[in-house]
Amino acid sequence: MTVYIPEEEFDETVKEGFWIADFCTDHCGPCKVLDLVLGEIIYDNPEINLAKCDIEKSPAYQERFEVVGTPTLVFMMDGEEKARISGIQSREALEELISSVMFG
Amino acid sequence: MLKTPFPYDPIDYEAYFDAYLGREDAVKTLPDREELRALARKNIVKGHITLEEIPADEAVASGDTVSFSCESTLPKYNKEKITVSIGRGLFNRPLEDALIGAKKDEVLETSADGEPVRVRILSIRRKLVPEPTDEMAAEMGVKDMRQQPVTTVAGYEEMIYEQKRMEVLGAVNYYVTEPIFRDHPVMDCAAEDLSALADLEERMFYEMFLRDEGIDLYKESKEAMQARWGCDSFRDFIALRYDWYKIKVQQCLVYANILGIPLTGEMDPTKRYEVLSELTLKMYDRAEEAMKKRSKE
Repeated sequence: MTVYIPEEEFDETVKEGFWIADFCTDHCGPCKVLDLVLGEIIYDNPEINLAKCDIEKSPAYQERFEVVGTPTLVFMMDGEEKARISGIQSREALEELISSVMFG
Repeated sequence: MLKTPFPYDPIDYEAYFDAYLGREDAVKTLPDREELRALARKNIVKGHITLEEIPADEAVASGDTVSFSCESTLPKYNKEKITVSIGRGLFNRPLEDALIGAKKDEVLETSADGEPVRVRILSIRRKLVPEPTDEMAAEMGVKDMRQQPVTTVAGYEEMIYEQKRMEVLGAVNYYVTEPIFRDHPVMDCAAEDLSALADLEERMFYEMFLRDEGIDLYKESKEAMQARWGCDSFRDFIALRYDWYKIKVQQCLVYANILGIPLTGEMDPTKRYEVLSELTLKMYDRAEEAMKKRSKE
């Protein structure tokens, strides 16, 4: 599942299960590159939830999650941050991280 | 017109391009349009995929999303409920493959990481993928490289192709021209060129911040400028960028030489801020032309 959510709906949305929060902006080139990689992963693994969080449309995200650059991915399990990674990543690197957070 | 001397003959771009192709990591072809089209369509529909329970008499196939319990002495494989899409190996590839062909409620004895694992299938869901629509493309809220909203499937496909094309050609242009810049140094950058480029950039930044953020950079406090750019004033910021203007002069001169474009009139970089960007895009086209020529050969 992929949702585009403002900060005020974030907690309620990600409170259960595994979520990837993608902190991005719509004019960030690396965000667009990473978005395609994430798109392929979500397409093949629809049980993974993706929350697209635009830090310009919802500036509160930036301070709350201490996002210092985009794209930043925060991996969450039952509402709790488990890992984070910034910048463009390969599909393999992301899947390895997803696997370790989802299944330990 | 730039006053900086550039005392070189026409640059043999093709020779530099061939030298680039000798690199082990050289990119020799542009992205495949059909592959990127498929990728774009996957990205459009990713938020609209639904999972539907399959009939009881059907078995797990690769790509299905399966929930199962597992028992093992290894903690990773001793869980009440695991949900995973079969086939990518996110959980454990051999174990996932062992589930293919199993039905709901079936119990399997298999192994993972050298230990026996007992698996019970709890549910099997199959992906329903809709055809991408213009509405789906529009709701992604994506903007293209000209910062225009993308509102159609075709527009999104084109944006992805253009994005990938620019990524590839940007890298090719960098590696082809890197030795060209080294072999054609600009010794004496004319002070009036640097000053003209500084004036243009100062005006561009001023107008952009006023338009987009309502900020008058000349009236920003010292603290605000420190936080923004690590200097005391907008003029200090521009002064710090003179090294960049030297690079910009060289880039304009080298690109103009290769492309055979006189840096006068509309293409005078001391008169218009966008000239270097436009020359760079023409260099991308030049790299694409060189690539296509060689792939035909």
